[in-house]
Amino acid sequence: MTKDCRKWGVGARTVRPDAEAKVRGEALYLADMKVNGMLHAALVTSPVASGHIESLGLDHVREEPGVQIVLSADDLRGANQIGIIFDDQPLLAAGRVRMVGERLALIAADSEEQAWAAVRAAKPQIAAEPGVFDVADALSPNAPKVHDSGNLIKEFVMHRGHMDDIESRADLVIEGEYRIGGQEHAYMEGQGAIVIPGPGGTLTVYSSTQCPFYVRQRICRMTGLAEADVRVVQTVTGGAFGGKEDYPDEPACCAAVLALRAHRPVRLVLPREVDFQGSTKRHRMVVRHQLYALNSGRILGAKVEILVDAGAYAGMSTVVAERANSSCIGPYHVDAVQVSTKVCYTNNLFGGPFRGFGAPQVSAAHEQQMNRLAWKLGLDPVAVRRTNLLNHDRPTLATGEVLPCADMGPKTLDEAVFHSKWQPRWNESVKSVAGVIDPEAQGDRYRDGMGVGTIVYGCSLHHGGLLLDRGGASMILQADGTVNVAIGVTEMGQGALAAARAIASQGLGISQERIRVREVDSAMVPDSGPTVASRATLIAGRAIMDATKILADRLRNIAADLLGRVPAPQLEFGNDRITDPVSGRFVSFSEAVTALYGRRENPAAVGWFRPPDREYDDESGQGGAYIFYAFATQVARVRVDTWTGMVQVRQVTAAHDVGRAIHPPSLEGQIQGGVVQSMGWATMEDLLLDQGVLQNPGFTNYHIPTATDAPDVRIVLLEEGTPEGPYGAKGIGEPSFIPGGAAILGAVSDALGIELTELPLTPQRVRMAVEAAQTSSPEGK
Amino acid sequence: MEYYRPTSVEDAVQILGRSPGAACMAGGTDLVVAMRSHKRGPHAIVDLSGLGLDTWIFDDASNRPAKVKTQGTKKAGNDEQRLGPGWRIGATVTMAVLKTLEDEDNLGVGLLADAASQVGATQIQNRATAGGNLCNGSPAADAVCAMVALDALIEIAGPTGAETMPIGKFLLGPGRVNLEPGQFLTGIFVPAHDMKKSSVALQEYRKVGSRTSLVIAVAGLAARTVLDKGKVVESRLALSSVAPTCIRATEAEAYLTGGPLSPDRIREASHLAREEARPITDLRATDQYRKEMVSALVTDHLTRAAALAQ
Repeated sequence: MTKDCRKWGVGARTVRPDAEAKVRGEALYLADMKVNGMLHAALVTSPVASGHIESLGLDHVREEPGVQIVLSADDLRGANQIGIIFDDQPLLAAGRVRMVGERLALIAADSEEQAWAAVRAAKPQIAAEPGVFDVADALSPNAPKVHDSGNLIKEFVMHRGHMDDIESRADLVIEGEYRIGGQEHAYMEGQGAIVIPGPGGTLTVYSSTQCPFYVRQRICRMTGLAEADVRVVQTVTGGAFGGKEDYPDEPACCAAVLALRAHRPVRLVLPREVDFQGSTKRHRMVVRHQLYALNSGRILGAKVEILVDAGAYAGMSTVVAERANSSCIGPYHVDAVQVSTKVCYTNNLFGGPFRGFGAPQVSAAHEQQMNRLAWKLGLDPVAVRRTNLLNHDRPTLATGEVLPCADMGPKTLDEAVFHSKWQPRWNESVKSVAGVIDPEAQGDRYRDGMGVGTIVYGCSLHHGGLLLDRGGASMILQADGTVNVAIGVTEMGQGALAAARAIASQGLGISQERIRVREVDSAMVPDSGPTVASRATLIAGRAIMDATKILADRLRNIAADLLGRVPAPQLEFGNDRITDPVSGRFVSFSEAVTALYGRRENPAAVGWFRPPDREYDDESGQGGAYIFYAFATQVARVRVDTWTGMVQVRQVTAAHDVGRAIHPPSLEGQIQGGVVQSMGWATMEDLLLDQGVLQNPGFTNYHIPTATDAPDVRIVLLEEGTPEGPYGAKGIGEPSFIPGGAAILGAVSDALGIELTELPLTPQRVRMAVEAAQTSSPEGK
Repeated sequence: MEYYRPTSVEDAVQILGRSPGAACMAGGTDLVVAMRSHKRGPHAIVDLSGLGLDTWIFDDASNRPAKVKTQGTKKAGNDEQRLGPGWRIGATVTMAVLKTLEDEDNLGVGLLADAASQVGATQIQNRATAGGNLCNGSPAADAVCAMVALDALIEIAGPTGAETMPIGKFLLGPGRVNLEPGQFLTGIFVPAHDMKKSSVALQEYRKVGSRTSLVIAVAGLAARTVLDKGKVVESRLALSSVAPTCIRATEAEAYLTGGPLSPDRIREASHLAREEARPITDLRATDQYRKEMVSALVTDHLTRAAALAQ
């Protein structure tokens, strides 16, 4: 491979603009910031998952050293309401608590230590009441009500075709109930905010967030301030993964309320344990999946019921559930589906957005269903997928949407199968002494297996979020030929700045190092919606392309004049030059900018992207839910220690339909990170709950993968473009995560000859499955 | 909070004598974490890092001067007794140093080095100490498990003078060790376990957890098996995380000693060890799974030891 030394444009392998400061430890994260006169906030939270507050026990707290302000629900002036979609969540609990970690009171003190010491002086009295701790029980008539409205928050459905028709045609039905675990985001930098009150009731908010405009909206709603008076500046953000989509608004609102009361800056940084227990988590789901198929391996359709454990407050759970609902069939052609997704209140952890947004859980289920169909029929799981994947002859998703890129599904499958040297072991006899702890069985102790996960993911907000699906970028050409770009989507570690810079560089044909892109400042760019749903490159990229087109057109006219009556439209941008391809003559980009300033023309432009409208019907779950779709296939190769149950993921081959690699190092980083994070979710990350109390709220006992656990990740990029994407790019953030869990579930099942239905596959859980299989197998010992 | 950093064992004894309830600190990797989470709040800290207990020597028990292996010659604790050859290891020797202990002759200390190399992360290993691992009293302590296997002796200083006790007497239960008020641990003595030239040995520490590194053992085995002419001549099996302290599987050891490592005998030994474990169910694992893991670890070790002998 030749080394690409190009420094401008998309596809150039440049060093990320934020890399050096982060590697050197010079990047300024929220907790590093200090403001004169700043108070430190802390939270009194509930140790009980369900109960009535008898007293808050704050009497002594006010006398604790350094304490300036103590606020409970009764002291709030504005609305005590922070629910992002439903008005079901108080900022501070009033009368009743519904989850462990729920806020009871806010404290501001002179130092961080004093603030948390004051928290320990609080002695809240809460009378525990029965709660709901298993989502499968949430809707039973006897279940305690988490909210007076009942435990069903919302139901989503998807109906297509005639179920009775496929029921009568099917040769077999594969039935499975999948219990899929949650996940902690484990961002390196925890949650927090600093709020600085300014003259005239204005606020400046520094927030570690992926959605600064959400922070602004919720502070405005809570305080009654105008959007133009609340400036939210995103600080360098050390990881988010969905955990900083809606949750950062909560610490920001807490700090804002205190800052307005104190007329002083207030900083709230959550200690890891508080963050772990109280912040959002990937949803735990129960997926009941019936797959109707013919003996040939062709699937006809499916009946699916999904229960989503939202925790005590709705938060974004309905939106996540909507994604699960529309994703639960996978990238396969079906004649009929009947899907019901019920989002339920429980007294467990607060469910929220997490990379994949409900799709990983249902993908693990639909992919394992495909495997089980294959195994039942004695077919190769890859062959069964080929039989059913969408393609140009059958391009219609279960949602009724027709995908112009439907052939990308089979292409990613072919690439992943080829590069992984796909060779599952299922057709071998799996009845053996594997798993029996015996000196003479040592040779059979380790079992290798392979599994495959194929998915399709809608890159953009769902139709339900259409109003937020737009974005802007503003650009200023500086007189010396450098460029400032402000975008409305956030860098959270994924490489958004690098991608934005590459796209701006392509549009102006200049070196990437001339361009500066910064974290979001809500006063500088239009509200561009949330940085979620694998949409950042699309939204920022298209808005930047719009802006660069405006600026390039101005420079083109100037360059045409400088070159002497050359037709402007034929001029080309690249290599820091504006070139006439006919004569080969050029002016440098800097010369053109100098001339623009000399003529006192406008050096700035605001670009905008408004995605096309889509039609979607909530009643049937049918229609155009997303702007475009990305396919992906990952193949996992595992080795299972049947004695200990330990799963070693040895290799993951990840074939991704990326459209176009805008900044290849960041893209590859996203895929590697997605694979490893997915592996953690599927094999070791276990949120252990006892009556709603998280038993492992820290990294001592909540294990995420280390470098020694990471598999060899083989990346295969398919760059076939998409007309909507900037220079053809699709999204990668979530597609990189989603297929991994499914592939690992299939691979471990393949290794053991056991049809597993639970994630995570912790050593103990795998060992128990091995033991259960031995007991039930006549040949086992 | 008071903070002391004495520079002699005598001074440390004095300070501890007049500050009852003071906490001794070596690397601080357990104490500081416990303080930060408000599980411990000592009024005084006695930092032991100034006592010169951060070195080790191999004492060959002859009359020749002790062979010095690192800089600094201060011996740990009391050297009145003749204990036979072995390693005298200061209380504040770090895991990073322990894991460099070489054992070309398979005299046992390699087992301790292997266990030390599996404690926490590199950063932890650079701070955490032999003494701290012992005094924290965790049944899951990797290095302690190896010390138990090797019959280490614990050296203690205190108001009534220096004292030496077997490690089995020192470990009392989760978070509890046999130190009287005012006493602190100054070092350990790891005896060299000699073996014949014709013998082969397998000594290793293995643990089971939910990932491959940076993991607290769900069950661990520090084992040393020496075979001569096909028969087990020395068997040491110490288990971590399956009882209130790290324990020896003494019945399994006794059964193994003197016989060959046939599959049947491995089976029986692993069964005995499994029955000797008294695990609890906690958030990391169930008691049942822990017992199974004792079987797995013992069978695995003995099977590989048997292969080595062939």
